Amino acid sequence: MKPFRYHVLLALARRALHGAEIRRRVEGDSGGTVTIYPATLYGTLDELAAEGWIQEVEPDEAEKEQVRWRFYALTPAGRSALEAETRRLEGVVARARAALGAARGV
Amino acid sequence: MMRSRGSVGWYALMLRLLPADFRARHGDEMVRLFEDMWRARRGLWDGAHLWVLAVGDVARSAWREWTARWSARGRVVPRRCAAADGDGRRGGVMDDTIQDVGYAVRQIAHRPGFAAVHVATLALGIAATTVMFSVVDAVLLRPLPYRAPEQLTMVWTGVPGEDARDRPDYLTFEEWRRRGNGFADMAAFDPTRVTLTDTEGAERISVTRITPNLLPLLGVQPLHGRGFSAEEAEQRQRLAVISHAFWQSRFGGFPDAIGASIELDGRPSRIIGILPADFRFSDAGVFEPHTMFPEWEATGNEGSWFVVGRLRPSITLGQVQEEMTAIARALDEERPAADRNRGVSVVPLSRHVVGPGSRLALWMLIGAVFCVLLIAAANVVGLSLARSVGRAREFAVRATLGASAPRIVRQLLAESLTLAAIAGLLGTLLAVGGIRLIRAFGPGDLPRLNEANLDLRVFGWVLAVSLVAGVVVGLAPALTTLRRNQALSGAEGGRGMSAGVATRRIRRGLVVAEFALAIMLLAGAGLLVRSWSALTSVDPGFAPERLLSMNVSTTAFESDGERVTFYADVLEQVESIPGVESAGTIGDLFTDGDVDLVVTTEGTAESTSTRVRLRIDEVSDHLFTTLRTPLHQGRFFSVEDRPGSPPVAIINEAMSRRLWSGRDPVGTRFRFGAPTSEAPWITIVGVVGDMRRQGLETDPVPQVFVPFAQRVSGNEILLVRTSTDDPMEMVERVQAAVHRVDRQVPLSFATVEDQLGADLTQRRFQTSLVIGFSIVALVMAAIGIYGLIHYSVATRTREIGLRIAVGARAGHIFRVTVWEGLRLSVAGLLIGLLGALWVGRAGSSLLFGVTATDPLTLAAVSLLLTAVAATACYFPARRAMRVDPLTALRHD
Repeated sequence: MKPFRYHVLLALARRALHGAEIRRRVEGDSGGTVTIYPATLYGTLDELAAEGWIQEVEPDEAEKEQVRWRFYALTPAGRSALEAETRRLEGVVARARAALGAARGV
Repeated sequence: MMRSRGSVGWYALMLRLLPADFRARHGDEMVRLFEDMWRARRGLWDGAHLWVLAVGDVARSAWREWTARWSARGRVVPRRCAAADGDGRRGGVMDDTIQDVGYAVRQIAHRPGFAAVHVATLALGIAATTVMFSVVDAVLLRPLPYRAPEQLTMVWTGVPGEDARDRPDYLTFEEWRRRGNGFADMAAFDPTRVTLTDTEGAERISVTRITPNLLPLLGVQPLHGRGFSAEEAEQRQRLAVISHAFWQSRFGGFPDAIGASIELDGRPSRIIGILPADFRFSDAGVFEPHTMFPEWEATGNEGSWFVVGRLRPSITLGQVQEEMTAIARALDEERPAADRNRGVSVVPLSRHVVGPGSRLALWMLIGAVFCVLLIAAANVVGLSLARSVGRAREFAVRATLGASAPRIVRQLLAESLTLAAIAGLLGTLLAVGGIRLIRAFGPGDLPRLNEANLDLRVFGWVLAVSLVAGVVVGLAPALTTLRRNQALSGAEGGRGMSAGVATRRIRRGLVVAEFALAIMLLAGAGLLVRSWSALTSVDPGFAPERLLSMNVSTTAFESDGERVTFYADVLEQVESIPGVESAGTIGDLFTDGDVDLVVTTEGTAESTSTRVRLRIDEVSDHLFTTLRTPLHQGRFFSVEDRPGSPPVAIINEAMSRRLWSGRDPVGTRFRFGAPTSEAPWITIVGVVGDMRRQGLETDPVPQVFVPFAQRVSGNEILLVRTSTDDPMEMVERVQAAVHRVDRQVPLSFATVEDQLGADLTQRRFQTSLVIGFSIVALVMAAIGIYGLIHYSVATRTREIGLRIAVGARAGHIFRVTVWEGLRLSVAGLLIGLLGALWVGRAGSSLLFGVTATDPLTLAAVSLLLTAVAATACYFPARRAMRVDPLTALRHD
């Protein structure tokens, strides 16, 4: 899965967010290493929606004053895609650790 | 903030690259998102970084979205393989694109010579236009840095219909302000110079005296402190608002400048405000209340106030002009008869900041540089066309293997866009250097030139020019390829005869166009060069060589009596210096100010009053001897002409012609003002030759000179005729002589020759730029025609060989070939000459001493161009002449 897609799905894991929030959350989740620019962000959102992994939702009552923005939320399919990818990454990380540890051990 | 809005605006504009449905869905949010990011930027570098990435982001997405849509419609050949990964949904087109670009890069690498010429030509054209655009953008297009600058106007007085721009007196300004309903407000200002004294000594500085409402009217807030209040101005409090530059240089930018005191003309003023750095209303370092002039309320016809007004939001310039004309008429009624006919003209402030002359010159320069760009593009198109013919076989093969026509066209476009992108990049780098050069060597008197830089607008310009150039350059070969494609067969496309017919016709047209543009540029350059030589050989009416000029200010003196004694002593001291031939003073040698005065001349029967635009200056006895201005009649001033003795004057020839046409003015009397005025009669004692004191290009106006003993001012120019070739060598001795009389007097030095030269800098700038452009145009046109004829000879080697084989003479082949080229150049020449006449008429006000239809110039540049064309055709023609029939026939 492309890193941007993963980051966007991850940003939506807790609750529905709008574009600007997603961008900030992605930046926060990645410790500032991933900056996603507007056109890529919305392109990615379109793609994820086409996959059926996210969908547009009505904002919460508390966020009604922010109606200028459109909110997106994970679908069950999106959640399982995120979980699957996370597991895969965990595996990759474990193997990377082992390889690095082995390299250091020599 | 202006900048932020501008940036976000540009971003919104850029989003138009994206498909409409995508924009409709996300455009708003994207702009808001970008605005967030823009606001969060830290500093200039961060902003630039953000922009670069945002542009890349939009470009990438635009490509992805568009190709996704195209592939969905199945316009492109089916993709060869599906990407295994789920993300490869749009992989087919992406693959094609990557293939296109990769192929383009391979093609470029394969023919580096072609690519280098292509890129270099375009880069030069792009760089030249970019530099000129940045100048025009800074000087003409960017709005003035005030609130709603389009509402700001200058308001002048003057004889209606004469486009005179005279300054009104304070009372008139007050009346305008009180009666003019179309204006939200009106303010007055007047620049002057005063002596600033500090611990390091005395210095002349520029000061602008302003009505208290000027800053609020412009919408300018002081950076620190405040402006003046109306009461403070009324009470004539000595307060000062200083410019940002003055603050930096005098106070090192420390905020304790507020409340500090500076000594102006020997009296302390308190600083109450500091203006922002981008406030460039005048070059003054200090702004004072308008009431600082001792005679600020003086009425009479010698007004001195510049008036700036702000229109009410819904009022147009035409409406306010109409209203002001009516007010002027009403004010006229209240004036003495001889003093009537004072109109009002309302002019946009931007037109005042950059006058019509500079404006026209800049537009002409932009036109010239566009010609260069067009010629460059035409050359590159010609080159690409030639190349596409050579590649016909390659395309045929690709078509046979299944490439669709649009696919081939796309590939050609990808190639030319890649080249244009490289050229754009290179052109930008060149432009950075060019802008530096222009800012360093451009005319200092062109307002706002120092604001020229490579900002986002200019970047946008480069991007647009490169993109258009890339598409146009790619489109011509692509379209001809497409047309040919219908009848494409593997058999054709070698060195065949028919393949290049259509393209050759286009290329001929291009060469004709190049020559037409080149001759227009050359004609312009020729006319400007002729103007230059006419201008530099104009007799200014005095001898500027070995003449030292300095400002000697006595504004700090108490009385006129002191001043007269001071100047007389200074002249005596200076004239006694070895190496000084003579010395004199004059109110101002070079000036752009004249006044509109009523002059009453005493006649034998009765007095007559006339309104004359003239210039009055006080001069010392030896001034005319020092300037070497000839005396035509009468005498110079002498020691007899002192305060108390009968007022006398010397006039120039222009004045004599204007008021005493045919009669001898010496001995007659005149007075300023109407016949009924109480002004003293002045006796004319001499007539001197005309001096061009308003610049070499301006005809001398009537001038009146009075002895400085009878009318002294606080600012005099001391002129010293030296016997050394470099008068600046004498500066120290002259300075010492002046300071022997008074230590405190501030001085500034220049040579009169330099001052005359400074007057020509704008023209020198224009002329050298146009010469540069036309040389580039000439070389490019020559290359264009050389390339065409060379190519035409190369493709017809077999035909030429055949002809020679059947008995054609070499001389005939040579003539035919040269004529093929010359015919085109002559066609271009004729078209271009028509264009040159038209442009010449539009720009005739930029010429001096030569008409736009000057036959000599036009004939000379036509000859030059034809000679260059003939030379360019000579080499390929010689080659054609020497074709060996055997080799040629064996060719295939």
